Amino acid sequence: MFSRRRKAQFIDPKSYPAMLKPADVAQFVAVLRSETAARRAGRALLARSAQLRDVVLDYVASLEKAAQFGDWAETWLHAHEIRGLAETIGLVAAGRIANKLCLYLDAAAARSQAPDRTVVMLHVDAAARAARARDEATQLGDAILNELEALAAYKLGTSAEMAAE
Amino acid sequence: MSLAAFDYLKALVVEDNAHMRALLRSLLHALGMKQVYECTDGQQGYQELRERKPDFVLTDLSMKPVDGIEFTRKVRSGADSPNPYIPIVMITGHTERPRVEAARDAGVTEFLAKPITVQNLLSRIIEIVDRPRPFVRCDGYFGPDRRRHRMEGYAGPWRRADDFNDDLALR
Repeated sequence: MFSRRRKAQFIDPKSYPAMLKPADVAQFVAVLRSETAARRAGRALLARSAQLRDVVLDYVASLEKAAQFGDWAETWLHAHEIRGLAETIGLVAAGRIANKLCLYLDAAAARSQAPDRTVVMLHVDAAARAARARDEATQLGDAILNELEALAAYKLGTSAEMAAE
Repeated sequence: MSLAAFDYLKALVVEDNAHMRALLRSLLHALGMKQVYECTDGQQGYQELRERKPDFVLTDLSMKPVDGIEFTRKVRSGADSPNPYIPIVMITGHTERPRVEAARDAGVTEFLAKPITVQNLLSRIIEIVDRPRPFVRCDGYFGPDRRRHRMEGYAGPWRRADDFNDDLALR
């Protein structure tokens, strides 16, 4: 005998509790689409940017210290914080390099390999340079990123594509 | 009408990084939403959801002990969930793309990709208000319709290959 799953039930948005009363939706959307909303939110982001940059630089200092001591768990944690914040405030390369470091450490752990100190230190130095060098960060970071991917892949014994995942 | 007109809206931010939480709080305040509740993981988030009854949620994906995927699943399908239909916007980094599908299958309404920009945040909030998604209840899933485009003229009930059990296996 053939069996089938239960037929999917569709629930119309009008039949569940809405975030706003229908009469208010158009006005709310208009307000959010206004220049005022974008300007105010832009100012809020800008006001936080300088502070967040300092925060990222603090994370970078902690990352360097953790890596120097060979504390890979702490290294991963600080790299994780950097990848979460850096790009939002324009430190694109630093965020991407920190991300690659997290992925490398994850991949090494998944293979039960000890992280290669050289690979880690290269990532850490690159992330630190990119975070501290505002203007050339993206160009410098992208070039380094490619080299690091190749090196990490070589050390893991995988293809560059795998390391880039 | 001004931004202040919507100051009754309540937002819940579930994010383990204090600085990102502060940034999101500032952005939401700037948009007139003064009631922003914060917590650091999905477990706390669920408690806050029950106590504060927010109107929408911004959640990170990677958190401990309870991540954004498990949190979303509980909100959608938990027996004691106060609002299974609440819009959930998940903040994801490019690092987490492989997990985005799992988040979608847990019932996330929208994704907000890092780096967070004003325009991205505004567009996601507008989206959840202006184009609320139909919900789907079927075997193994309850949440926003994962297909954004309807197939015109298709009247059948089955939409996925696995809508048939075990590939029509004989029982």
